[in-house]
Amino acid sequence: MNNKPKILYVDDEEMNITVFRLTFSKVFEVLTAESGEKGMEIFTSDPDIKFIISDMRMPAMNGLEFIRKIRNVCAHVPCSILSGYQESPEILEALDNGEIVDYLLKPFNRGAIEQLVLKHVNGTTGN
Amino acid sequence: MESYIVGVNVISALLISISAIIVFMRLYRNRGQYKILLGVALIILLAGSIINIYQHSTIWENAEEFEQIVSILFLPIIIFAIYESIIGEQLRTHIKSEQMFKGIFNQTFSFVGLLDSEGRILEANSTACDFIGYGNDEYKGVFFPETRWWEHSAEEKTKLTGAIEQARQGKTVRYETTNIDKDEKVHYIDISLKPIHDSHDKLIYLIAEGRDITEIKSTRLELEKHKRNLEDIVDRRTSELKTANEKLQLKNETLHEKNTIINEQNAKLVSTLIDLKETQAQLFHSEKMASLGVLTAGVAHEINNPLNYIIGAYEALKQKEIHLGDEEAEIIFNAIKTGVDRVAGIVKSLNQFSRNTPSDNEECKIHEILDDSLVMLQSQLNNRIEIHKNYSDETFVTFGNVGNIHQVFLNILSNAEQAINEKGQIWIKTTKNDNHLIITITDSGKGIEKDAINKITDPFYTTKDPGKGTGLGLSIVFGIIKEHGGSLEFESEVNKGTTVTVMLPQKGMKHEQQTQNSLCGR
Repeated sequence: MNNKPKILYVDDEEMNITVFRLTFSKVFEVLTAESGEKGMEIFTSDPDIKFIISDMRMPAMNGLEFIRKIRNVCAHVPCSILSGYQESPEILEALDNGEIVDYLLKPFNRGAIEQLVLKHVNGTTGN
Repeated sequence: MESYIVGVNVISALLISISAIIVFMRLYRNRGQYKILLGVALIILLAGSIINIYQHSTIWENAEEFEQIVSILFLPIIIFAIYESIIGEQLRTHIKSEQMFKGIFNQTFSFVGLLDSEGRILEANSTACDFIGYGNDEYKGVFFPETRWWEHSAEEKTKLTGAIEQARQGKTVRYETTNIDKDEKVHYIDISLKPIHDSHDKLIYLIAEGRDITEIKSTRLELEKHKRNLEDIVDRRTSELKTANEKLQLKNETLHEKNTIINEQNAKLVSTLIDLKETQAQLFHSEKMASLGVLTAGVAHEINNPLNYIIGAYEALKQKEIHLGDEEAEIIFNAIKTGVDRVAGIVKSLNQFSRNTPSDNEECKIHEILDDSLVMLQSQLNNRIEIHKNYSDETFVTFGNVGNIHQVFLNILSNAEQAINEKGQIWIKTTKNDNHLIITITDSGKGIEKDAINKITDPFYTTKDPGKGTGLGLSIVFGIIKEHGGSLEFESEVNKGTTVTVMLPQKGMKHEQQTQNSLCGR
C-alpha cells in the first residue's frame, strides 16, 4: 500500500535522528535506531527495509561493523555511511569491496541522499 | 938400445905425471878414497919410471933394487884403488839410500809399520812410536792388534784382526778407525793395510799405514754439525716463514673481507644517512601533519554534527512550506543554507589537509584544490592581497594523493602570501599542454636572491626568521611533485616577485575505475 521505500537510519545522536526523520519521512518510510544492536533487531524483524544509512562513530559498534553484520544476514541490501569525518582508508576499502555503496558527509545533502537511495531501491524493485 | 929404453921411459914418465896431475886435480875437486889410492899408485909408477930412466942412463947403479920394491908396492895399491873405486863407492851409495829411506820412513807424517806375514809388527816409524810413546823395539814381534795403539777399544782390535786377515789374503784394506795417543786421547785414523809379495808371489810383509785425520774428521764433524744446524735453522725458518705467510694470507683475506664489509657498511651508512635525512624531514612533517590532522578531523566532526542538525532542521522547515509567500522567511532560509554551506565548505577544505589516505590514484581536481587552499589562507589574504584567478576552462584533473596535492598548493600559495609584505597581488593561472597540467602562481613579493634559488628545495633551508619556518615546506612540496611525476620551477627577481610553475601529468586511469564503482553495490 505504501509506495515509499523503507529505509533504516542508525545514529547515536538523537538530534540527528530527529532531523533525518523530519527531512526524509515525506519521501521514505524512515526507521531509526540509536545503536548497531537496535538496528540489527529492527532489520531482522522487518524484511521490507530496502536501504540502510548509518553513522560511523558510535559507541559499542561502529557503522562499518554494523553494516558487516547486516550483510552477513542479507548481502543484497545496499548500505551507506553518513559521517562527520573525512573518509578513512577503512572506508575506502569498504567502498572498493562494495560493502557500502557510497560515503556521505555531514551536513547531509538532501538531494544527494534521495537520489542515491532511489537509484538503488528502484534497481532492486526490478528484480 | 939403452937410449931407446930411456926415451920410452921418459915418455912413460911424462904421461904418468900428466895422469897424476889430473887425478890430484880431481881429488881436489871431489874427494874420494880411491882417487887418493890412484894418485899414490901413479906416484909409485912415476917413481918406477924415473928409477928405470936412471938405471938405463947409468946415473944410479943400484936402481934395480928400488925398481923391484916399487913394483911390489904398486900392484896391491892399484888393486886396492880399483876395489875402492868400484865396491866402496857402491857401498856408500847404498848406505846413503838406506839413510834416506830411513829418514823418509821415520820423518813422514803418516804412521807407517811393517808387519810380518802373520801380522806381527816388525818396524814402526818414529811418528807412530812417538804418538804412543814406544821406546826402541818395544813393540817388535807383537801381534799388531795387541799393540798399545789399540788398547782403548776391543771393537777396533777385532776390526783390525779382520783387516789383517783380509790383507793376508792379498787384498789392500782401507778403513777408518781410532787410536789412542800416549795421553790416552782418541784420534781418528785413516788406516790401510797392503800386502807385499816376493817374486814367488809369497806373502812376506804387510805394510800398515795410518794418517791422523782427527782434525779433518772433527772439522768434518763440526762442518756436518754446522750443516745440520744450518739445515735445522733453514727448516725452522722456512716453516716459520710458511706459517707466517699462511697467517699473513689468512689475515690478508680477513682484512679483505673486513674491508669489503666496511665498504658495504660505509655505503649502507651513506644511504642510511640520506634515508635518515629524508625520514627526519618526513617525520618532522608527519608529526606536524598528524597532530594537525587529528585536531582538524576532531574539529570537523564536532562542527559537522551541529551543521547536520541545522541542515536537517532547514530541510524539515522547508518542507513545512511555512516560507511560501513570506519574503522574510525566504531570506532567513537562505541565510541558514548559505551559512551551513560556507562552514561546511571550510570544514571540507580543512579536512583535505588532514587526509591520511595512502592512495596515490585519487582524482585531484586542481581548481578545487587551489580554491580549498585559498579558503585556508583567507584570513591572511584578507584586504591585503588581491587574488587573480585565470583558470583553464577544461577539466583540470591529475591522479594522485588529494591530501598531498592540497599540501603542495597551500604551501606555494602560503609562500607567495608571506613574500608580500604589505599590499600585493597573486596571480594563479592554469593551462595545459599535450601531457601536462601547468599551474603558475606569481606573486608581487620581495623575490628570491639568485644564490638562494637553487637551495630553496633543500631540507631545512629557510630565509624566514627563526620560528617562522622549518625549511621543510618546499622540500616536501618538491618530494610530492616528484612522486606524482611532475616538475617544479622557480623564476624570481628581487623586489619584483616570484613565479612558481608546477607541472603535473594528466592521467586517465581513474576514469575507468569510477565507472566501475558506480555499477557495483547493487
